[in-house]
Amino acid sequence: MFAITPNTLSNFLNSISRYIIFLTIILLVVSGVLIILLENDYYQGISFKIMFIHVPAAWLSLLLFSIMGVSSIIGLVFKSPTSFTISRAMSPIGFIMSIIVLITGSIWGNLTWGTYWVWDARLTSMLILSFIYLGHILLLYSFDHFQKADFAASILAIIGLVNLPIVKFSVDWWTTLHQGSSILKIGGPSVTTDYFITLLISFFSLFLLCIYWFSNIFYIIIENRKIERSKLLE
Amino acid sequence: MIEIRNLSFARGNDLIFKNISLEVKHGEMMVLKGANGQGKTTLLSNILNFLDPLEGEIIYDGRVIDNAISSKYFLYIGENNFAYDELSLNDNIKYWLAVHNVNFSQEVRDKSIKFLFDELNLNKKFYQLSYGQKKKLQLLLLMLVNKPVWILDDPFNGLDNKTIEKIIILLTKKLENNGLILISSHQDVLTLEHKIFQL
Amino acid sequence: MIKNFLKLIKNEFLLMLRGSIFTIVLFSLLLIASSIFSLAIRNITYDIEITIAFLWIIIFFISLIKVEKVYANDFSEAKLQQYILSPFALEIIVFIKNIMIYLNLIFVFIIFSPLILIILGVQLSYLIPINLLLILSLLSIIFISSMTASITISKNNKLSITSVLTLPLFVPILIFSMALTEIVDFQISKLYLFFIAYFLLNLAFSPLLTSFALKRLSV
Repeated sequence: MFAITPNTLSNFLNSISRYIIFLTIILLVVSGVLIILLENDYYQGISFKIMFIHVPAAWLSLLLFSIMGVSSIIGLVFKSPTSFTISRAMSPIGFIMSIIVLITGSIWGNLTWGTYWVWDARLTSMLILSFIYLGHILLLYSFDHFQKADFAASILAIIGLVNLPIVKFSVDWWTTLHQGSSILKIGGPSVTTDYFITLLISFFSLFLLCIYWFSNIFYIIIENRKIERSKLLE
Repeated sequence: MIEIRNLSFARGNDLIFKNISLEVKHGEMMVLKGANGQGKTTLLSNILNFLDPLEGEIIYDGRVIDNAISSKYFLYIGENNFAYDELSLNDNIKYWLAVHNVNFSQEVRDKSIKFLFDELNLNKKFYQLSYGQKKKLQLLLLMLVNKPVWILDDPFNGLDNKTIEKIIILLTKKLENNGLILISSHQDVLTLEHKIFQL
Repeated sequence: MIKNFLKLIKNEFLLMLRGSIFTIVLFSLLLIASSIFSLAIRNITYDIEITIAFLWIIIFFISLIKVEKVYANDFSEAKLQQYILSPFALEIIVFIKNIMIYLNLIFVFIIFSPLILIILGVQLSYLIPINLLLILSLLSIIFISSMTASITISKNNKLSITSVLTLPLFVPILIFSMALTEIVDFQISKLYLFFIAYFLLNLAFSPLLTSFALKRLSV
């Protein structure tokens, strides 16, 4: 990972991005059909189906953040520009995902609990996560020199990474309105298999969409840098 | 020996300098000349590894410069004051010598102070000194910290002729002891033999 | 080296004493704020949680301001250059400075705390638990705010509001402190352990990241 230069990675991502978008569209269609075909939940009715956006987006926002944090650590330790660029390209996607989680979550919450927002630990933590994403993005654009911005933002990402376990397991520490995490529970999943498969497929389609965005953003960043550098040194 | 090969540096989207190459051997002194804004201080910061160059490399005695090398061999006196305003001169001297891990005897310290200042009340606070005296107090480090390379950013700015002569005596002694000196300056005050690099 | 290290600590302590006037000013602001607070809600009956939340948030901002002030002063460019060139690692200097800020804030708070509690109308039997809570949580707060301060004071920073952007990072401590107040009479519980664990976690990487940010961003 440290030996790969940003240029080779960007070329590689650019070359595979059309296959990714093809696969993404197929998976999105499949998961859409599956979601429509599924029976409504006995208690929650049709509002239950918002889960298939909410939960994958929540997983993804956490996953992207941990990738960002790890690549920031690698970037700081090995001074690798590739991993800095990875986290730079990732933060806007993660931010969008966390916003999706918050919006769908409050709609779902309004339909089932009758309130848009509760100061429950897990909701708070997701809000914090989106704030950290926002801070990361703003830090990236608050420095003249992109290398300095990368250093500052990666430090923020590492500090935020400490927050992640607290986000994930805070739901177990306090018993609140929010239902417990149902997939990653010890002793196997508690949802039925139909739901589980649909959830997984929608997760993967969203995941591939994120990878597609990521490769595009990565490519654009690298191309812009090339142009700037050639301007400087001419 | 400090060797710079094809060094370029950019701050943001400003190219400060490009393709600089120079060489200074032990026992030699080099003066960097140039108008304001030409990047003298930036070049020195690059040599000290405070800043990372855009391209090119800086080599000291066959090794590419990193933090360990710069902290072991280089002594730097910049343009701004580093002493603490709130502390007395005595405490300031003690503090910064401790930071540089120097064990000195009271006698040597008093002798150095006598050489530079003639007379100085050590119980004064740092902010009570005049501009030239503040500058001189920083230059005291040159006499007390023993490192092979001196990098001085405009050391003669604001000093009177008598003090400049004293500093030149120090520089001469350093060169005799096989030291390496890099100075940035925009005025001609040096009577010593030196190389000039025009930025 | 050890002799010089001790000298360094001694001089840092001296510096801390000189800087405590600023801390006292900050805590006088806390006194004023808490009298206005209790004046504003004098006709309402409320639980101790509200008072403690108020106290805790103000103290949190005080420590943020204090850390930023000390960092802006003690890690100005010229000083920082000398620290980087010294044989002592910058991490050690950052650690010593953080501990000194901590001691300073704690001592001044312990002196002020009976007065503040009387103004806020809290029973004096809560004096020791509140001090204990603060002593434990302030360690992590100082170490986290040192990281944010090192990013904020850097001269290349166009937005100087970064300290506000990094505020969400303190929320875990806030949540746990609030959780502690819900437990009647502040009995020693597992939550106290959280503060210690969180501090150890911060201790592991905070000086490292702070000095890294200072080196990379401020010179």
